[in-house]
Amino acid sequence: MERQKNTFSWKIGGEAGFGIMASGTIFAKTCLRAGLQIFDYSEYPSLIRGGHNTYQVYVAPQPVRAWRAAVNILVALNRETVDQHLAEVSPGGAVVFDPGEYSFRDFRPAALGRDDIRWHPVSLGQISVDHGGELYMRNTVALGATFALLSVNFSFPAAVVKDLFMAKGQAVVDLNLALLRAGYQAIDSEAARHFPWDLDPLPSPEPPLYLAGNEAIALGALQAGCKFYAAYPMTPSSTILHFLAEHGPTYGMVVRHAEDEIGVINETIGAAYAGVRAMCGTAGGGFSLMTEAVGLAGMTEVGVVIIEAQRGGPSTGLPTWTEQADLRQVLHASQGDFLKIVLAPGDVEECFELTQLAFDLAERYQTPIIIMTDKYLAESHVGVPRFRTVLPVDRGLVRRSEELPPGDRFRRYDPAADGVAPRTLPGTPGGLFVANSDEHDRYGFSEEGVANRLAQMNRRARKEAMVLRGLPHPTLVGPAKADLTIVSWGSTKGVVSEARAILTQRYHLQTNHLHLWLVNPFPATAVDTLLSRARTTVMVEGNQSGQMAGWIRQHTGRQFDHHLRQYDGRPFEPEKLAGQLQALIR
Amino acid sequence: MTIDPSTHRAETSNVPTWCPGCGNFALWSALNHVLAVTNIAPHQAAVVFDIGCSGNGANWVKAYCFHGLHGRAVPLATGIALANHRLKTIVISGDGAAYGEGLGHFLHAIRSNPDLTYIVENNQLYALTKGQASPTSAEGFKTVSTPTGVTDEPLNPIALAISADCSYVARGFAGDLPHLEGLIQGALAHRGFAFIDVFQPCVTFNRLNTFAWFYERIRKLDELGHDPSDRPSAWQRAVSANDDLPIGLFYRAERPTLQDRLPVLRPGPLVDQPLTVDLSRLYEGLS
Repeated sequence: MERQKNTFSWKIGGEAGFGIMASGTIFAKTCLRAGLQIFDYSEYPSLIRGGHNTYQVYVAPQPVRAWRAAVNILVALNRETVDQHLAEVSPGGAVVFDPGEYSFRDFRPAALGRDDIRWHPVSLGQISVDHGGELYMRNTVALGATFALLSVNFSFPAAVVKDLFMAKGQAVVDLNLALLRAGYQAIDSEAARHFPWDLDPLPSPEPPLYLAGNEAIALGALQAGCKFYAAYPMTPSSTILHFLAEHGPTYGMVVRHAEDEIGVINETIGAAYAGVRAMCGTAGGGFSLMTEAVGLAGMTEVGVVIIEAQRGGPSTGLPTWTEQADLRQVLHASQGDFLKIVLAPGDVEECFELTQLAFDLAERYQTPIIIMTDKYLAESHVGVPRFRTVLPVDRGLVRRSEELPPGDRFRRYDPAADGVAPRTLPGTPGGLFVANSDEHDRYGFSEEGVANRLAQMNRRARKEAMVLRGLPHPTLVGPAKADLTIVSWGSTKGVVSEARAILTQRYHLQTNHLHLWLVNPFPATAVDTLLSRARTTVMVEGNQSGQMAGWIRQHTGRQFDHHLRQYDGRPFEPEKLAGQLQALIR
Repeated sequence: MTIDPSTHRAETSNVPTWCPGCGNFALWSALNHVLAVTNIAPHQAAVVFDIGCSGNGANWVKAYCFHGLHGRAVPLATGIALANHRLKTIVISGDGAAYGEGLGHFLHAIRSNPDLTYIVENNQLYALTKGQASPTSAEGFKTVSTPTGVTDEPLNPIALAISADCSYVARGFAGDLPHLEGLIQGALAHRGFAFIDVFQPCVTFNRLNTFAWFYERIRKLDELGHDPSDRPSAWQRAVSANDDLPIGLFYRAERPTLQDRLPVLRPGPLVDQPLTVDLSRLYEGLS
């Protein structure tokens, strides 16, 4: 078999608490520093210890936009990993395992009926103990072994391990390096020479950032000058809180882990009202609790940014798995008619850019902005170049004291304004107004009269058209004439692009793709025009009922020819999706 | 004490809709007067109101007023007080909001001790929704929602606050304006979460806890020789089984405020900090 250079999929599996995540990080970062591109994906149950964890990394020389289900190299820290994932291992794939590990007693690979698999028994636990480690540190030995099989120079993983453990002291660094090296040396050169995959470092001008969607959102918020972040822990949004709690204060940010999601969003609204850029984050369940306050922000016209990271629902649902089934709850959150701007970034770069944009929209249009991600986007890492896109800050209409007419009270909610009325910040002399959850008059005083009600409702409603005028229209990627027009929203973007590439390369099929990153206000005219030109249409979305397909139909009257929906907690996968799409074209 | 009309900060064009004789007038007057005599200009105060009769006061206080959601005034105010700690932040709530819907926020605010004042207008029922029982209604109290009488024990907010180590715990009475003003003045001067529960008879729906009923039972703590730094004694007076209802400052302690514990706030209020940041050092650690 010919050796494949730099394109392979690696997966490690084992019990929760056995360093699966750390191993995955080290593997992915090593590949990045070797000048390659990665897309990683982890699966874990909602448990601290026990349960089955996996981490897989797809590696390629060109940018990778989605995970791959097929595995070339499987590192099995326990028997369960083989039992659960052997079917994923590609023909001719390799399995590294520890014959000395308890669960592998009586393990006979020959009995599994996979003659094509290359089995690499390495006494991971014993090697760990022999080199001063503990049994549970076998993951580091396993990493060393796989890097040896991939024939990559030891200096690459060693540098990553050193950086990762530096904060824990030299002794920890030394021990981990010793275990890594011992694993590396446990593979004889003959085995490495015949191994089908190679990691051959490419020159890299600047090491890329190793980021998941959540970190990109956190960076986008910092870049936008967000000074207040509040959250209550909930998978898959928690790593935004962790990242900002660690790094936010350096950039002048107050980070609050408040008592519950209701406290979280009310604090965020208070901070934004007082004049700072403020954000909160949660998952679907926490957003349910925030719902009433989303309406408060709409009514008082306080621009806040809310991150809604979806997981499998309903209720506690699938806490650590992915889904796109919160769309309707977000669109319809809170009673009454008011504008929510809903954005759905499709990848890590869009997470960074749309979060920055969200703060401008929040302050320009004075209304809640919700950014929807999901577990797959929020927690899957890629390598990206350092972000260069820095949006100029637009704080919208803010009046300083010297710009105000005489008198104490300010017409904060002037119905004559074109949708958005200028605001003052508390502390501004002469700028008093009431921020009022009741319907209110131009000063914010409670007012239930018909003329005022209609004037205020109609003024607020004018924002919607303003937002649409101010944002770029959605565009088709791919040829104008195509056999199939694929529509997706949010995190499915990357999977669709990879599936399209497969369709073109393997089957010479022409498709184009509409990724909807602006969900509300809905760009109906543009979408209608694009769909009107399509030969055959398919909506690809991660929920059972076709929530986005219905939203598009509501706004355009158009129905899709085909629907591909997934709601098993797993993300769409490029190879599988390409097959499903190909079947639609024939 | 008489109030100098020139210091009264009511809106002349906007007249309170509270029932004649409502206890809310007393707090309104006391707050307006204290803000005036302590030289807090209208634009320097952020007053966050809950929902209910007390909440309607948002329309009649001259300050940056926020009329929020039921039970959620405290976190709203905490956000304001963190974003701009130069503002004097005050929360006005009712007993339904404070001790029913928003009880969790109350306890957690006591824990984090943000520098703000929390005044609860406690009329022992829900007034704006027409007289249902509240968490502080007496056991057996008959209302439209409890026609055979309240079955639950009333909550003791003073004991609750002392047990959680709230840094300023006081009780006022709408029938004694100068005394109430003193408590508010003390709360505004206190660094930390200052809590005042105010007996505030509802003249329309509460025929049990009337002004006359309170006058018979009210005792002033400072006349009883109470030492507000003595927490066990404060607890004893809060849970005392006799019919007397002590008012005044139960407990006060110096504790670091939430703002004190955030080094980010030392250079000045968040709202004044520059938005431009350079993330290049952060990027270095992410590859």
